[in-house]
Amino acid sequence: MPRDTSIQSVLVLGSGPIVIGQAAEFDYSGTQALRALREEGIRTILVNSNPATIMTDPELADRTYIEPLLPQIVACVIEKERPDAILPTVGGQVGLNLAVALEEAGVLSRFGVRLIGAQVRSIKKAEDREAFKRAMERIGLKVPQSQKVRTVQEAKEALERIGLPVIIRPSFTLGGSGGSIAYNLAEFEQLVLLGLQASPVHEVLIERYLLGWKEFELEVMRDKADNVVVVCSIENFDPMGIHTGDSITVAPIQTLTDREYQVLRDAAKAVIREIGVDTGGSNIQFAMDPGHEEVMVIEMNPRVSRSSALASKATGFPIAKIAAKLAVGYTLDEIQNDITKVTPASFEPAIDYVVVKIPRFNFEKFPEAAPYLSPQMKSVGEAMAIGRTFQEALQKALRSLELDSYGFDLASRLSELAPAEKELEIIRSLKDASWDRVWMVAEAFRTGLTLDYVYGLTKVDKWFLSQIQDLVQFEAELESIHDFHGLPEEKRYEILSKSKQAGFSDNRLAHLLRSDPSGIERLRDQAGIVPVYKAVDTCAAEFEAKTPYFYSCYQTEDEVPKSSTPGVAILGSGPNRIGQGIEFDYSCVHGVMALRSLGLRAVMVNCNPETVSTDYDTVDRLYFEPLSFEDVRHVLLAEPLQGAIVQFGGQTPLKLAMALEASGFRLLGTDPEHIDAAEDREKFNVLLHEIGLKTPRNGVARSVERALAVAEEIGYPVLVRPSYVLGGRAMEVIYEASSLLGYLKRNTKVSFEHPLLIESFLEDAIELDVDAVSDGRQVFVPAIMQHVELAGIHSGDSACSIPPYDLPETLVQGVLKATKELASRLEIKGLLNVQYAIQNGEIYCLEANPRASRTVPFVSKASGVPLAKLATRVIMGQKLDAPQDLIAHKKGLYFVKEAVFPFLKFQEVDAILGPEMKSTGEVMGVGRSFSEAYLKAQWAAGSILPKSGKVFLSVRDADKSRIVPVAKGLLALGFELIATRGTKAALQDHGIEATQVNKVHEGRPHIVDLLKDGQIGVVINTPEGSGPVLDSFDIRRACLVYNVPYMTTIAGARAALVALEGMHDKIEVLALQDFHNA
Amino acid sequence: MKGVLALKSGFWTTGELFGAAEESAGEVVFNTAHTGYPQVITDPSYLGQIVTFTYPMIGNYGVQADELESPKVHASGVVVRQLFRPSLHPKASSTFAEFLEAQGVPGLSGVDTRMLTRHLREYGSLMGILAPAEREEDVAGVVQRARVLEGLEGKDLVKQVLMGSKVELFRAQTRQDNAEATRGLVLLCDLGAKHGIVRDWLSLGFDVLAYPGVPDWDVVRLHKPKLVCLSNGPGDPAALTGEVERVRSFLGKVPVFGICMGHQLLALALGGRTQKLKFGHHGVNHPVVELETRRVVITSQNHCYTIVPESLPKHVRVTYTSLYDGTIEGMEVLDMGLQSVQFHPEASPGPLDPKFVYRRFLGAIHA
Repeated sequence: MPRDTSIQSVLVLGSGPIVIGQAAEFDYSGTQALRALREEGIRTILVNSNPATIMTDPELADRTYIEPLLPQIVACVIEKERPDAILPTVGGQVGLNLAVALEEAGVLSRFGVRLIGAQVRSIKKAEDREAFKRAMERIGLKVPQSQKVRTVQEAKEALERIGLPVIIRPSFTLGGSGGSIAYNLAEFEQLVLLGLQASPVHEVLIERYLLGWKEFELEVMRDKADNVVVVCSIENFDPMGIHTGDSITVAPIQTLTDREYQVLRDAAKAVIREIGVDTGGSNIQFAMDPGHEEVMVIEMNPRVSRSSALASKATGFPIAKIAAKLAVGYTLDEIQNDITKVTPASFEPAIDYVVVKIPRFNFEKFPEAAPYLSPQMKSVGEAMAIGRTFQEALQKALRSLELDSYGFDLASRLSELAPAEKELEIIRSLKDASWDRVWMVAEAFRTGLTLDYVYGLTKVDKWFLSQIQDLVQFEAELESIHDFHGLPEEKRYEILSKSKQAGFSDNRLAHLLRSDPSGIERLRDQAGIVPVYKAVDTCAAEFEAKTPYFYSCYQTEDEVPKSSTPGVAILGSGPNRIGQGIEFDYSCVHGVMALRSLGLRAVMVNCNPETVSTDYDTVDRLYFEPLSFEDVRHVLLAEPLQGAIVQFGGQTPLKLAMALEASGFRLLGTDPEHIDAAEDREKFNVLLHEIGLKTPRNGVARSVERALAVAEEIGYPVLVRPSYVLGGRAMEVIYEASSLLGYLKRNTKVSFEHPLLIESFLEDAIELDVDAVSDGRQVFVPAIMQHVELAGIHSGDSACSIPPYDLPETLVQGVLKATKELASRLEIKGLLNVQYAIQNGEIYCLEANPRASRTVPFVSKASGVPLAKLATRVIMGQKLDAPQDLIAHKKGLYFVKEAVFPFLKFQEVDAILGPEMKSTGEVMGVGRSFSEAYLKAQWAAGSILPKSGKVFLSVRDADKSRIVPVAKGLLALGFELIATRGTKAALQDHGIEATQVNKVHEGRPHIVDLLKDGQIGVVINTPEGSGPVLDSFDIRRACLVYNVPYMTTIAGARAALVALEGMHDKIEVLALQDFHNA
Repeated sequence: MKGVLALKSGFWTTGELFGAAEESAGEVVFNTAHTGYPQVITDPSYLGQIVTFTYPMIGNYGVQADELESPKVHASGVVVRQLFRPSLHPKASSTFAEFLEAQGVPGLSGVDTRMLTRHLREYGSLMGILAPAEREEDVAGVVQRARVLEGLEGKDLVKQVLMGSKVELFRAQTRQDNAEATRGLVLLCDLGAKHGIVRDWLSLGFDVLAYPGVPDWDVVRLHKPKLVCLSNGPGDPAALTGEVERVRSFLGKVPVFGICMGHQLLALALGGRTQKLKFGHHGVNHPVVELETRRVVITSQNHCYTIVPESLPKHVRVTYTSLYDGTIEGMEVLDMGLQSVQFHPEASPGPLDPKFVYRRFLGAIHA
């Protein structure tokens, strides 16, 4: 069946900001879909609020709207563009929810637009647990006993039938938000309440918890002729009860017999047919009891998902691309498998390797959160590794996480415990599923616990456990070698060869053999024990592969075709984490595009399965490898290269720069010596002094005594942080010596392995961010960003505006000049990011980062200049051609970036901002005024500011006078003010009336009661001091749960007021193509 | 113990020997299924073949006595990247290595099976020897012997596989359960039939009389079967001249359904020819298209030979073709009550998708 020619234009819905549960995988799927549709000559229209995506690049779609993903906004786009169809299945849950909302609001019928891929009735049937259960029963499949409830009372009744333990699943939420397991009645009631609050339709499913059952996933595709193929099977290492996004997962399924697998396969086909996904991919999850007697269907997603991105990377079968083709009418047999070029897409990939996905957590940023896993997803990223065996893939996966662990090292948190405590801690970690449980399993075997015992605690299938036990045994044998380097050469080679086949890193081997990594490396080089690269080809070598997608292993045959032309390698940014997310992948992908446009061969090294950079379609050669020195070195040795670019992938490749250069590799771009001059605080101070640029007084300390002395010298408050960090890891504002001591105690590893930076904290300073490109001669500064939050709040967590919305022109020019001077002095070749603070009209330079920054995509979108592409051309020797400085300021528009936070996922965590970055994603708003752009950014971030109603004010003493103008402004707009006693009194002093309300501990009804009642439209609540603030914690928690817009800083409140003042009824939606082509 | 696999082409690779410490020769083929190694090695069609599994971890779930296609390992050897030794699956009756050892079949692990597969893809299926080889001289000897191996072309392996087989009657489930009459008798011409074929006919409500080899019409009609099913089997169909002759004796007199080699025999009996494929189809992910409906079916396949399209008489209608290489995957002569498929509707291992072909056949013959 050929393509449906009645579809000439398609609106693609993106998934919005990166949040836990919905990440870069939807940029990958959306980008693939847009490309696939364009190949068909279809006019594409995109709506996505996330500027840090490749899909929102103006050349990907014909019309690109970086606008809030709200039904009324999308309706405006539909009205303006009049697409024939909407593809909602590549934009995650956001895409599906929007499709349902548009249908229900009558928008689709009003404009005669149809949905392709999935219809609303299928979406509802898959999402609505009750409907899903009925559907599954119709096709003879079992689902866990469950009941949908809307009140706690109903829940209690349901429980009598189902029995504890149960899972509580809120309807229509992302990544299992609000989902939990209740083991007893008391916690049951509390968890039900939380779940009800988390659900947008105020409904939860009480479901039997299949304690200890195994979990499997199948990625299924269907076309309109009802052909169904299973693209990939996935087995979860962690059993039921841990969100699959937080579980280590393995492809293909390892522990099922063929007959057992075929039962799942048949069930998956039946499910996709019954739910009625017309075309495209679905993810179907199953549970099986440990005795392999019973199978149940857990859930199905009628869209591409995190798992389908993983499945695409794991097999080489591009699910999203094919889904887009199917949506416009093709059938699977009409689409070519572009890896083999000779076989059709209507087949099931055969793989001849093992894939392990491992989640990346950021619990260290949320010390209040219990670091244990549950049905609610908590990981912020993931890495994938490919090996010929599970052990090899697992060990590669461990080092891909970049946690300074190169295998099954002893978890550092155990190293200080006494043996008895240690065993207790291990047992607790196994039983309660700590985030680092996989290391704990190894530790359990090391301390002599048996396979059965570890199984009893973890319910992880014994097959997986035995693999780890085997590695522990292997390690013990290696450790028992007394004098490795004294062994005969042949014996040493044999040991190394065997170890490398099992996936051991040089680092780990060095530790086990009491050698050093470079010694191991030398020995291997001598013996020729180096990896070979094998292709991911969808067909287990049955056909010749045309697509260059490789992984390393220690086997005999290398099958990488030798290239005659030297290429350029770009080192990726590894798993996403807070502080280093999709923005860096964006720059990497642009680097690749620019290289290819220059006719150069682009070689990518990365291990993040979510991303566009690991789409084999994007690059000339993809090496799916950990970004550890060892693995990167091997790739660089295997490929003929002009050099490698390390400035796009964030801190990950930059950390390798020195070692790579020392190993004789040519690094392209800014010289490592100059990188060091910017990163090393002492050297940087000298440089700033030389060019007469101010910087907060600062010093470097390498001991506790020195730290206290330096802080004293500089004067409190001080800002402290370890050197070489990203995302403000362990960065704090400290007001007194005792706090500094406490800080040093908490961060011992940081302060002694790397020096501690201490600088004077600039209070009430405005922060600016600048991204520039330099060719070593000219410097191009496309924009200056002004942060909404003041210094002291991490720049990644602050909203920011292009152009600055509140900055005198002289300062703009001053910052421009300073940036150019810095770029010249640092002999920047490529990108430079500089951060400034303005205090009392003075410019202070805070730091300079000689690499792509988090804001590169935002600046690129605002200026219309693809900075990373430009930087790549410069790195490859081109000169800048009459660049127009501050071009983004001249568009007649404001661009506001806003951060998005994961607080809702961590119940114990207080939603306040500080120097440590906590946001996971970002959105952008575009408008003709700052207020319009800011308002849109707030909307896009999910903070829907109301036009009228009650505003609650409760501010710390220091803010009591600053809140006055905000309060006056709100009154003028017709808002009613509600305040706590102190704030009310302060307002009264300025003649402003407010209604008093109790704080939580002052008795009921209190503010949280009002929030629950939906009486409050906006909350302005600035907390006292620096630590977690107990008395107002409940207020902020309630805001999160009830989705009430809240500001925790005066700066944020001021910006919100500006936005409210500028609010009007007409919404104008703007396409990038409009203002960048004009 | 160390071992070696040496091919006629001169290619050889060493590894760790498991299973039986025996020397074994055979045609080396690769199978791309992720699951189902117990079914594969007990499938009589693999007689005379050394099977390389492209999936690198074999033995993960041991062996289940009720997931075997015959009581015996028919493959002459097994080559894997990594062997999983323990048996942790709740239903395992033995480990994979123990199973092979008990059956006297050698296996070789630690092999770069992808390299081997690529070699076979390039050179086609090749004869080879899998043997213990502790010393370098042993390896050299095996390599030498492999060079002069003769291929399986023209060899009648069916005779070998049927050794000791007797006529056996299987009663349909329905009959035992509720005394209802069965739908009749299927006379299964057993050329090395997988048990899955018997299972499928039984589950459709037929009794099955498994007859070793192909009887002639005089024998067939004595049993008054509703239909004759020609099974899968090992080796070169063209070597089975007697069987082809006997198939011809009942064509048009009784409905005939052919599977895999049975499909090829039917073609030969109709006057067609078969030829050898370069490296055959061995996997569970092979897409075929039903020409009438354009429906795609994912099938389990295991064959080295295929029907030469031009050789088929005009009245034969091709019903399925491979979406991989266009080869014939099914055919029918409706007025003679003949249908056959090259793929395996009984699966085991592999997808259950093509099970519908039985019903389609039964519909066509109004059974």
